[in-house]
Amino acid sequence: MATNKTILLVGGAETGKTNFLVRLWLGLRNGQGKMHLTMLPDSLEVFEADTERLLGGEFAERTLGETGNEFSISFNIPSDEIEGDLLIPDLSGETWERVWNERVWPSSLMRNISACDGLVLFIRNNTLVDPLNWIELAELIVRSNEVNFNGLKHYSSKGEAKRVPTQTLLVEWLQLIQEIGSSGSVRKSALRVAIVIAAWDELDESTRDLGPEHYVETRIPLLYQYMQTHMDVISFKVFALSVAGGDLANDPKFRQEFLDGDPTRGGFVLHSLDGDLSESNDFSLPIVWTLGLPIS
Amino acid sequence: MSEGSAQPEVIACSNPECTVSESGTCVLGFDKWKEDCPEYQHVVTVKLNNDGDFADQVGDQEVLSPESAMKYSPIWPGTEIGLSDVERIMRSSYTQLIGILGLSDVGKTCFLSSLFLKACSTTQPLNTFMFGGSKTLLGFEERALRTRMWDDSNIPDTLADRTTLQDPRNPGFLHLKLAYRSSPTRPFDVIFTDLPGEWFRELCVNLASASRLEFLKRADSLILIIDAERLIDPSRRHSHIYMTKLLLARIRENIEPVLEIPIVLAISKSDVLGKPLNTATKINGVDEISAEAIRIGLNTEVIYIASYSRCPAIVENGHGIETVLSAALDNFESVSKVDTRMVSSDYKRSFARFGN
Repeated sequence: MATNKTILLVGGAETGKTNFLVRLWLGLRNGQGKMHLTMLPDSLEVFEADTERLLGGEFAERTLGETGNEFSISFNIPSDEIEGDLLIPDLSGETWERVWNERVWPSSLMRNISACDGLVLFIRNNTLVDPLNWIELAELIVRSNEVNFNGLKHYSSKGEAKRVPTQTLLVEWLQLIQEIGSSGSVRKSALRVAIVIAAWDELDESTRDLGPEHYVETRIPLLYQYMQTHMDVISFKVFALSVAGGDLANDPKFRQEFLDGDPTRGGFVLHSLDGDLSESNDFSLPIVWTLGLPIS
Repeated sequence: MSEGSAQPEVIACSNPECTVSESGTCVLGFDKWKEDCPEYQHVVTVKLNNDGDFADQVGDQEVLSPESAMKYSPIWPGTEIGLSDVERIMRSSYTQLIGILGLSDVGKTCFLSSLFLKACSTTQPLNTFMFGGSKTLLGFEERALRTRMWDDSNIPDTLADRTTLQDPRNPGFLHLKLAYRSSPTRPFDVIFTDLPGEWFRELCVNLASASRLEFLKRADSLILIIDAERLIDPSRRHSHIYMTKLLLARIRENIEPVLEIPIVLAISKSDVLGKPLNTATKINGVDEISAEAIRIGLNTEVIYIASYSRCPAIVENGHGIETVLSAALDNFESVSKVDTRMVSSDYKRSFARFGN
């Protein structure tokens, strides 16, 4: 069975989308995992620099602007005799944030959304923006009586201007994407959304022990509730992963171990595809699941 | 042409299949697509610079040129929704319309902000309901952050029909999709009014202003916010009681909501008492207002609330918010069969009325 598939990676800046693509690519080249390459893409320029960075013990640099880059491969899943072409546009976090700020879709992105077979939603704990808390709300209300007070524009938390809470962005993106999918073009099947907690190693052990689904429930409650209320129309699955397995930027000892080993096989993916939480080296699992293809 | 002297409009439909911006023809076949097409959402406005050319940037605000607009499709503004948007939501699903009423600064916006914060919170979450989405997420965020406030010097006279991102805060509506925790996969739409307190003051003193509130005839419930801080202040209590009773009378006589609908008297800022809030809580004036409401035939219930608390160890943040919402929704959960009836109205748009 031959099939053309498109997956969109959704997430703000520095949430790990590009690093995931690089690690996915390296895994495909190794023949690891469920999904295999059937031939080399014509051009590897898109990820050349970032691949070299990871192999050299560094994470990818931040993707800037609307790059127009695309991850495009021909794949097969030998165990199930499935083959096809996979397209994953590499969109910067700023592109997604711009959707919120400016309330416009680039038309090219709209067409991708209409045609996509699923989404992978990226979240990273170190870039998570928490919602307003009650103390902050109370302070804002008190200060709103001040002359020329402009709310958040004057209010700072920890010396930084407060940004839009991550969970609000995630829910808004999902809503907007669903709206496009239901308004015009025909979606072939119910939307599938993989939620990926990237850089899982950054979290403390007690949080990691509770698993990625518990993390979503307790740290991103707005998204969690949205998932629960849309279970009939959207399939969700939560993954956690670490591209390298540790902190390449700030842990020299780990970095040395990473380089002394095989960087193309570093990192891990946590999933509960078989019911219990399991660890795998197969970075294609979130993609395979999102495409609705057999996992076991 | 000078900057700002002419602002041509660029039409950009939200439907990716539609070419109305180029052809003027709506792909769904609506002749009056601006008024009737459910896909048409926004008009992208461009500005001219001093040379009369389309400007990519005016001052510190980046705007779209017509050419740029063709490459982008607009998204609902998300700040608040207008009448046309409300009607579109009501056409697609049964929607609960809840009117939030009250004089200026009684806490109407704080009530909505508190409700949203509870949906976002794990420390004081919603217990009865679950969040299922919102077309006004930006509006909730901005109201909580106090960046979207009424311009007291320029309060609009009428409800917004449609909204754009560039608009200041307009009298309109906020939207939430909620579900009962007991049936999470059956979310329903709730529309809350977002109206300036000045409108209610004007309603009290001048019947001529009642027409813009006629849509409240369709409300499934009303929440009248009453300020506990004013009630406990001897110099403000009597005036607040007087105006609140007047407002109730105007609602009864001139707005004429369906008498069976729940009307919640939400006593805001009740943490000012500095004591736990329970069934024994009493504040001067509340009984008088409640008695008046019952006397004129309104189906009311008193609930003490604290949208945020100045003494959270005694009164938790968001106390009573969900209780008010539950009372307003009046066991909507148990409704299993619905029939539609059109409520005739002299208002320019009529709403479908659902009933058992």
